[in-house]
This record gives sequence, C-alpha cells and structure tokens, in this order.
Amino acid sequence: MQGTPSSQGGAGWALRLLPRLASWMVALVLIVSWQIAADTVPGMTSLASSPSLVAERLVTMARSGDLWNNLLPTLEETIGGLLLGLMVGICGGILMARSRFAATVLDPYIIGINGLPRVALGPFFVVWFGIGILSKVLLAVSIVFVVVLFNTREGIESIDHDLVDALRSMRASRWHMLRHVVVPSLIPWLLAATKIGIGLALTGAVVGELVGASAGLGWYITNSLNVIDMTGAVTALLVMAVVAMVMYYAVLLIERRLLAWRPQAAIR
Amino acid sequence: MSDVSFSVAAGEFVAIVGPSGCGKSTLLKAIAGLVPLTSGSIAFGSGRETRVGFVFQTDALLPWSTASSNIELALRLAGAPAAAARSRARALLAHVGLENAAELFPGQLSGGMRKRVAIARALAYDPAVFLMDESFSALDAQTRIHVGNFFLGLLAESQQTVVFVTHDIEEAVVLADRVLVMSHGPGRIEREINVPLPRPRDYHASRFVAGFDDLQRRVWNALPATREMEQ
Repeated sequence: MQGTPSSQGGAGWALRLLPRLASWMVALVLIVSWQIAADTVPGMTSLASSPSLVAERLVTMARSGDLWNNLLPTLEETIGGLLLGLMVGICGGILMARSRFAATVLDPYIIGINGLPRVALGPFFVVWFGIGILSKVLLAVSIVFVVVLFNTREGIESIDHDLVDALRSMRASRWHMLRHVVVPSLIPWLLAATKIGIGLALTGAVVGELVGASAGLGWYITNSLNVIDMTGAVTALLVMAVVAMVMYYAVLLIERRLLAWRPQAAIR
Repeated sequence: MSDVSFSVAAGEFVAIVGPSGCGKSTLLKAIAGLVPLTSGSIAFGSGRETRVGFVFQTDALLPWSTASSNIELALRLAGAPAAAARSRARALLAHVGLENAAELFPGQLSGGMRKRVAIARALAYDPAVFLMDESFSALDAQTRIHVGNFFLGLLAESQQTVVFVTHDIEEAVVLADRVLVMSHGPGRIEREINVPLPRPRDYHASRFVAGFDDLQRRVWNALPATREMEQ
C-alpha cells in the first residue's frame, strides 16, 4: 500500500474511471451491433429501426417540437404520479403504523390492490378520468403508493427504540421527535421507495397513454406503430429510458446529500 | 416489580444489580418517566419532574447528527438558545477530549468515543440525576476501563447523583457508594450494601484494594441466583 501520493492518486483516478468507461463501452458496442444488424440483415430496420434512423428522428422531432410536446406530458404524469404516490403512501403508511384499527381495516384492501395488476386499471381510468393527464397520474399513483406505504410502515417499525427513549428522557416534544428521529429514520426507506417508484410511475403514465391519450411518449409509440413507423416507436422508447435514468440519478444525488452520515455498507 | 422502595441522596452513586428479568432496567426507565407506573410514585428533591440524563447500553446517539449536533440538541431541549448551545457543545466535547470529533458522525467514531459523546450529551442536559443502564457493558474490556475512569473523574468534579444499573458485580462495587441487590419474581430489593471504599477510585485498580473482595462476595451472596443454586 506504499507509494508516492501522486502515483496513488493517479491509480485511484484511473480505477474510478475504468468502470464508467466500460459502461460507456457497453453502450457503444450495443449501438454499433444494432447498426451493423440494421445494415446487413434484410428487413431489420422495419423490425427494430437503426441507430442512425433514430438519431435522425430525434433531430427532426426536436426541431418540429414533437419531442417536447410528447415528452412534457409524460414527464408531468410521471413526476406528478410519483409525488402524489409518495404523499398518499407516506400518509397511509403513517396512519397504518400508528393505528392498529386503521391497519386492520385497510390491510385487506391494500393487499388486494397490491396483488392486482394495476395496468389492467388503465382502460377504466381513461373511461373515468378522461384521456387527459389526470387518468395517467392516477394510474401511476395507484401503482406507486403501495410500495411507498409498505416502506413507510417498515421504516416506522424499524425506528430505534433507544433513540426514542433518549429523546423522551430529555422531554422532547412531538415535533422534536418527528424532526430528529422519525423523519431521518424514514428517509432511507423513502429514498428506496422513490427509486423503485420512478420506473413504476413511468409505467403507469405510459400504459395510460397507450390506452388513450392525445399526446405523450406512450401515445407516440401507438401512433407510430399504427402507421408502421418503427423508427418513431423506438425513438420514443429510448427517450423513456433516458427519462427514467435522469430521474434516477437525480434521486441518487439527493441521496448522497441526505445519507452522508451513513457508514459504508457492511456487505459489499 | 412490587414493593421496591429506595432513596438516593444528592451526589450519591447507587448501583443496582440483579438477575436478568428482575426489572432493574424497567425501574430505571420508570425513574426517567419512560414507562408508566401502575402504582407507587417517584419523587425528586425538587419536585416530581426533574431532568434526568439517561445513558443507554447502546450509545443512542442520532446517527444522522454530528457529535456536536447531538449535544446541541440536548442543550436545546434543556432550553438553551441556539448560539449558546453551539459554544457549550464545543466546550463539552473538549471536556470529554473530543474537540476534533465535533463535526464527525457517530458512525465515524469508535465505540469508546461514542460513549463519551453520549455521556457529554447527558451532561449537557444538566440533569439532577444520571440514569445509566449497563452503560459500559457493550465496550471492550480496555475501552471500558478508559471510559469508566473518565466517568469517575467527571463525577469527582461534578458531584452528580447517579443510579447505575449493571449485571457486573465488580463494576457495581468499584463505582458505587451503595449497591442495591434486586431479585426477580416479583422484582424487589433484596439487600442494600454500603461500599465504604476510599475515593477517588480507579475503575480498574480499585478492585485490588483491601476490602473489595469482601464487598464483592457480599453482593454475590445476596444475589438470588446464588442463593437458589446453593440450596
């Protein structure tokens, strides 16, 4: 482990960069193989388009405003569904953790909703709440809130008794208990739920759009496939993946700030 | 528990020993007001409600708060304004030899350091009595001696009243002015043993002074488990 600071620093820098580089390499290999397949296999572009066609389409869509006009509703539905799902899940989780009565009454329904494939609710929600953004937000909420609720309950269950006793022995008010013990204890659980929730909210939003909408990335996919425009459909799909990744990394940034106190994981 | 009655003088150090399940921890929590009393009462010299400084077996520090913030919170809860709490927390950390750890999180400190922060936090709350529940038992033997001596030194200065629950007989004798031996089923105080060992004491070395063995034996023989096994 000996070495001059500069050589150690240099090696550390390279070691940190290497996995990232490898990650980008995987993307490059995938794109290049996709392009080669599209160029060599007959009929391939009509099945899976090609990177060059998708890139071209992205530029056209960005110029015409189609990209933004379809990205924005999906973003609104996803973020709206995620935030509302978090709120409903946190409130429900706290209610059910604090009141045995509420837990006993609501448990069967939560379990029922959790077992139900909620994408099947998509058509119903569109009938009930229209082809606008509301039906998609609510569909996303219906999927997201259960995860949040379960995590909130588990988080409350796992609050350290000694911390509660320590603050109670100092005659802390309910507000102080909430601010210094309950909320910080829940944050790791809620961050985990949010990370899972991003994909779930996007699923809710897009399924809603597939069923019935007048804009959005999901709508763009159905619309493209109806006119056998594979490039349009694949482009929308890739934009969705980018949306999910950007949101995930945003949560990761927040997590790095909020969980700076955490010691390194025991198992790696 | 039934029919448990004892009083602690100001500045006195009382240790409570007893078998697991005799209710010694519950007794401590009752004094702290953490568990409701079904019957009986607890009174402090200055009234029914008095500040207690609870030191747990675990350090019970908020893991998301720095050493300094943990102590500041106790000061704030005791009514200090924010700025005063901040400077007092620094002073307390210096007092326990951790001025450099102020901005570190508990997870970044060793077990002995965390325990000292926990003691500093209890001190910060300016308690009438220290309530200690097996406070040193989770520490390794060497650290326990260091922290124990540090704590004895602190007490010599501050003349704190202490109620200390432990299952370690030697620790009880070496620390306390008086040892209460509890029994279980129902939990009650079996015997009261005065410890006239000279002060200042040393958490380790005082175990070798004349009279220690005898006191330790008396506590040991008073424990119900010992008596049951000998019957």
